Amino acid sequence: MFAIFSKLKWKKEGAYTVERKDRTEHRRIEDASVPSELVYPLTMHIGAPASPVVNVGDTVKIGTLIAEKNGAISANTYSSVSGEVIEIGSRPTVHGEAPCIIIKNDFQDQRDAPLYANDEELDPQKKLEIIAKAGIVGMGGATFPTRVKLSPPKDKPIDTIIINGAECEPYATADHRLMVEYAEQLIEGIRVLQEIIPVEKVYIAIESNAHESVAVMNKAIADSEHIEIKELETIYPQGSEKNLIKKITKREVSPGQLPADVQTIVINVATTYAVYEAVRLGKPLTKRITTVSGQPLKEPKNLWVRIGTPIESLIEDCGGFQSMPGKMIHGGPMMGRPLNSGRVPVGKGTTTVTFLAEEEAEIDQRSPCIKCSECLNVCPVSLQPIMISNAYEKGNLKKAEKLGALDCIECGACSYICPSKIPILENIQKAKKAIRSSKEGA
Amino acid sequence: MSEVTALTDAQLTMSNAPHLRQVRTSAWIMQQVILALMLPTIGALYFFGWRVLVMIVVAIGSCVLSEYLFQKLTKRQITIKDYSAVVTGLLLALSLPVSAPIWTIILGSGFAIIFIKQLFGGIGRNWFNPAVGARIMLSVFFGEYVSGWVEPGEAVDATSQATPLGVVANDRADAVSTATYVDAEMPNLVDMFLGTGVGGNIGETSKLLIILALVYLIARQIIDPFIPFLFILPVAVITLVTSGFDLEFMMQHLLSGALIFAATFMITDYSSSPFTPHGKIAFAIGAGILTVLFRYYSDYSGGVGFAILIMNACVPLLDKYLPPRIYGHKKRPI
Ligand code: SF4
Ligand code: SF4
Repeated sequence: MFAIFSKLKWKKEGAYTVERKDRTEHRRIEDASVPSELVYPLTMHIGAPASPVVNVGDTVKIGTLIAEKNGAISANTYSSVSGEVIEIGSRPTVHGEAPCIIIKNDFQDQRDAPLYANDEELDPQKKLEIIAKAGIVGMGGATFPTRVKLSPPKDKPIDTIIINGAECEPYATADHRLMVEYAEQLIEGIRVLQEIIPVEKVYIAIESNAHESVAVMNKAIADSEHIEIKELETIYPQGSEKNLIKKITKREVSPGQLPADVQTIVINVATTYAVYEAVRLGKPLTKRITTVSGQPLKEPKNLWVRIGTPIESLIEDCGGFQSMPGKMIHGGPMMGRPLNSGRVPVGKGTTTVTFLAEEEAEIDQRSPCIKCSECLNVCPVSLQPIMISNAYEKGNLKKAEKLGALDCIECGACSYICPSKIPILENIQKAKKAIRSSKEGA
Repeated sequence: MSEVTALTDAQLTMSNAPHLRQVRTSAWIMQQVILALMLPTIGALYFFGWRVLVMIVVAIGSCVLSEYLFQKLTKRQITIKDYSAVVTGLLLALSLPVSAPIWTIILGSGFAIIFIKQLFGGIGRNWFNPAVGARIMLSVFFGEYVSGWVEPGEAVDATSQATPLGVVANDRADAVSTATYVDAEMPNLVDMFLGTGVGGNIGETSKLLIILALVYLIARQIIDPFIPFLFILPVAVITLVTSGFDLEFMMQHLLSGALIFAATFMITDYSSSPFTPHGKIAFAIGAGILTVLFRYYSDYSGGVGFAILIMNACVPLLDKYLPPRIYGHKKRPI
């Protein structure tokens, strides 16, 4: 159905990027090996860093609170192994060197008490508190505290929940495998969300290339009439929050607004699973599924990873390298961050670790813009990316702002598509920074 | 550890996202345009003989050389490797009659590259389509040399003679009353479509070959399919309505002159057409309407070129006032 459109050149509000999911999409999720030392950054979420509540020498178990949230936009952090706190100090993380708690694993895997007592009555408010307590944040990479998302202002009644299974980054298959292997649990997670926010309709958004998850989820929802699967075109960035809301509800989130302002909440599938584990099983967030993939790896895999596991340990689980990697990326190749240390640990938002071969990591030299309009055609928020980039390069921040620089969702589709290899997004990011700092200065 | 390759040995690049780029390059896109232009080129060689080859070589050579020399002299980055000068040369040669003297080709090429392309800032910045601009310049100032349209097979010094468009244009006064009238000189539609036995500029005669090129460029996602269509549509509608729904009259208009050639290669030129989707639509429709007006109300039979130049001049305005509405905003960012 989408094939014909993808063959024509016109404005599509997205790019048909490479997919490269074939090496991991049919592999069952395996348990990653658990290292002897785990690293828990205090900054695994957006907002204020968590504050440590343990001291060096303390013994911890799986599910022991080690750092507490600091205000509303922050999140609790739990140990994912049993053992001993051996250090609290600076370590390399996704966001550069940052304070971390380091725990030595005793390999006993003892569990701490669950999040709530077995006989406790759970009302919606209590369930929300459990979600906050469990340290759950957006696990699709945004890492925004889920509890905040689930408590919209009273005057904005939510009528739609969208479960985001549109995994649009190349290589990423963690959400896909989660839907294929844990469909029942996901449906249960959706029920929890509905108990907290009673809505008419819950949509599960899945990209059309994930046939298997569409089929499995369809079966799983057979007798839940409140839930509907929305099969969406495979186009990048289909899974972006603003884009999903527009595609499914036909509503647009204006600048300065939150999805709740258009009566919608978008929750990632992995987050939904974490909600299920917290509210139904009393387990805090201590593990996640991460896709570890890319051409240089011998055996790319989807792994159940204990949060805090250094990436170098995952590389070993994937059989090491078959060729020299030229780039290591936390996240997918479109929006991920480059890493230069294998000691960086998997955090709550680590959907994917992507490795590119040396030749894939090279980017052709920039040439002049030929005005092909492709950057405009693929921009999901209908900006004119090269115009903003040009305005920035000419030092005209006013124009960059008028052209909507601040509306850019930084998806990178424009830079990806540009045949002249102009670093459009990089310029827009710089423009945004300059505009924001000039505003603060004023 | 028995790893063949350890992470610590790797030279990890730390550049920013996105970490992948599509395989297409600007030079590749220009190569595809050149490839598409090979179809009318082959037609030109077939219909008009070896001189076509000389014309093309001279045109491409002078375009590339002008670009190189200009950029060398003004100490700019040399961009001849992007193939756009080759495209301009090829387009210019194909839009001239086989009788065009060599000096007109050299003059036109230099004018196209230096005055229309480079002085405006080079690729992506030029307002006017270089080949169209040069062609118009030649027909305005050196009309006698470049409008002797020649039938295939005739010698270079052949007398000029009516082309299909000339016939259509001369009949315009009584266009409606000639609804059923077919001039004896008017080639039949099949010949016009195939390019057999009709005169004209060397690359524009066979519509069949040009349409094949158009299909190729659309299939390769190099041009937007709606733009050629929206350009031709007003021509079809206006000629159909004003002739009292005479399909043959309409077809004669569609198949004559540079219309189809321009729809494929000129209207879709990146640099000289708008950047925004709505700007593109206005551009194509505007050029289509102007083409008919020129054909109806002027004696100059190459109305397509003028129509495109006028619309080229409107591009900055179209882009300024027809940008797409940004997601979540009420108004366009004007
Ligand atoms: S990075 Fe920004 S400007 Fe570029 S396509 Fe994405 S949203 Fe549009
Ligand atoms: S910036 Fe790149 S994608 Fe955008 S119009 Fe120019 S060449 Fe095309």
